[in-house]
Amino acid sequence: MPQLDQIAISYASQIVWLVGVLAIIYFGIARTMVPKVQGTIEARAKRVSDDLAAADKAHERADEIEEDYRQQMNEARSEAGTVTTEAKAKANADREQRVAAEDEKIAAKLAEAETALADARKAALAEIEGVAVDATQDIVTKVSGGSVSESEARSAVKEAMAHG
Amino acid sequence: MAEAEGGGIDPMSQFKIEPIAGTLEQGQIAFTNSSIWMLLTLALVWLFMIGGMKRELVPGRWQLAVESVTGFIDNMLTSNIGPAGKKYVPYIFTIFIFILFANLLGLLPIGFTGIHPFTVTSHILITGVMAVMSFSIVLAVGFWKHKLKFFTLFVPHGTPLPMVPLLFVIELVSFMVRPFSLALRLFIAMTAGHVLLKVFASFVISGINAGPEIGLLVAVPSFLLMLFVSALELLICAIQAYVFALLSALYINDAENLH
Repeated sequence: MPQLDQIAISYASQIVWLVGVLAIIYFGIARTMVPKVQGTIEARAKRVSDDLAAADKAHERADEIEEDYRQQMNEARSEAGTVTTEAKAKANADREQRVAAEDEKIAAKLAEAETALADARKAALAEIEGVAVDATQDIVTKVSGGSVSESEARSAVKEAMAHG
Repeated sequence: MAEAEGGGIDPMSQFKIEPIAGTLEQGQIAFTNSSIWMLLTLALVWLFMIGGMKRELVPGRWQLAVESVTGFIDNMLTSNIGPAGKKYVPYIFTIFIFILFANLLGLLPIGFTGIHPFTVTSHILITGVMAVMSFSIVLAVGFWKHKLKFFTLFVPHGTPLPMVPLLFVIELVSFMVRPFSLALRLFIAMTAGHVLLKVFASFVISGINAGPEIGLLVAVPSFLLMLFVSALELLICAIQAYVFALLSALYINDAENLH
């Protein structure tokens, strides 16, 4: 087995070269390059966590904005609702007022027309009475030859007209 | 690989250290095939890490691979030792990445080109030195942080007084065995895997040389087994690097936090 047979003659060269190579790896690579690689890893981890935190913050901000928007929207909506109901109420009141005024006018006109109608009727009735009295007097004179006074004829007519 | 005397293939010759510059003698420092593969490991580790230095916010595949390796080591230390484990990241990273890349380089299937991959970590000297390093860190940290109280590590909580001397000895022995088990585990795993591969490879070669019937009967199944063992070895490369790093971390945890 050369590993054992050659120990005596090769120990110096093996150990010197090994220690030399290990020293170069230790000082040249493990102490200089490895920390840089680890630094890169840590920088990346930090960057990732920072980015995540920023994203979280942005998310929160977006939520806030949305909440604001919603609130404003609700306010605007309720305001619009009140304005609408107010306008509706006002329009209703207006209309009622005008309708009432028109109603009044119409009622006045109606009353006027009624009185005119009543007057005309009265006049017509009076005229009919007069004509009837004359006719009664004429009829009595022609039929019986007697004469009836105007007042008698009138009361008879009135009675007859009252009985329809 | 190399033809040994008697025409067979010696599965152990792949572990032989050949000098390239200088002579291989006691007390001499030579540039050997082992040195070449250590430098290749270093170059590969450096290349790998360079790919992770783009430091982009959105990592590419390579950067992600490098980041997962460092993150893996970092995670292993913080979960086993706690926040104090951060300062051992460079050391654990060094042994983990060195063992991993050395193991993988040793498995390179380039033998047919005439270049023989050499598995640095299949030598007990290499694994031993690294185990001693881990053990020294444990001792240094333990005695530095806890002074003589570090010896309470060998007496588990709630031990009845008469049992203390006995348990102390047992725990001490198990503690002192740690560097050996650490070194042997990696050395044996690498050696055994490569010997196995080489034995199967020699079956394939011998089977083909022995004619078509035996070739079909021996070489093909051996080759299929080689494929399977190679895949298994890839897994073992990673597992052994992980185990070495994890056990080092656990031993350091003992020193850092006692019980």
